[in-house]
Amino acid sequence: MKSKFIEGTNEQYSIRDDGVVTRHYKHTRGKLIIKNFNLKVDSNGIIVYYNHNEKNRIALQYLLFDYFGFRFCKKCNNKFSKKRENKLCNSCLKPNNYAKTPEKIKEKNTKVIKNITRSYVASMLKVKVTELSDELYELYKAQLLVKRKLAEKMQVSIATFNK
Amino acid sequence: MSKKTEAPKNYQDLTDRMLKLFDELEKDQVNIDRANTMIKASNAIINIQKAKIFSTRITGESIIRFFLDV
Repeated sequence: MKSKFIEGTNEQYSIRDDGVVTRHYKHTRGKLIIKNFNLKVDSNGIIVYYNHNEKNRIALQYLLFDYFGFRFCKKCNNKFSKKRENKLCNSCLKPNNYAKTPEKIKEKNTKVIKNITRSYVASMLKVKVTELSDELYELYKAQLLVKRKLAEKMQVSIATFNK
Repeated sequence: MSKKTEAPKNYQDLTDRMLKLFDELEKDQVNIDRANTMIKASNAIINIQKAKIFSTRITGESIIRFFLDV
């Protein structure tokens, strides 16, 4: 594993290529304490470090990209070497074609209802698709077409024919 | 005493009639009362078929026959 000292910290801090930041020494009441310990990364990926008693914050991803030229994907934790605002690698960045937006759901439902598919008939009859026989499907489809046409002619709800 | 009723094999016939009715409705050549009666008849047939499916599911029998109590 490679390790590099972080600039401006007087070689007090170093970063390893797996994302671990180590503090090597510190000054306490005029004493120099040498003790290697790993710094904690908070939930936002920020590391707090001290430079001449001055508190600084820096993003771990920024340090990694600066020193090793890569960063970890926010979603899959794989390495990738491009600077992006959303912090996602190429594979995670692919557009989700199956996203269920309200418009898409509505469009699909309208198509199913208009075409009277087997699954729609099965759901209306509250039976499984495998249980639905062909003749029942055809009959229900024909009946639904007549009901719709009649409801349109009489200008009433289709529910009035279910009684 | 129970009497076995012959299963009417007229689902296809009813489907054809419903489709014919649909065509007639489009051409405004049908009485609405007649259409209502046809819908009621097909509702009854569909409900019987549905009951058969549920019975098959519950009993595990592949063929379900309905008997008329006399």
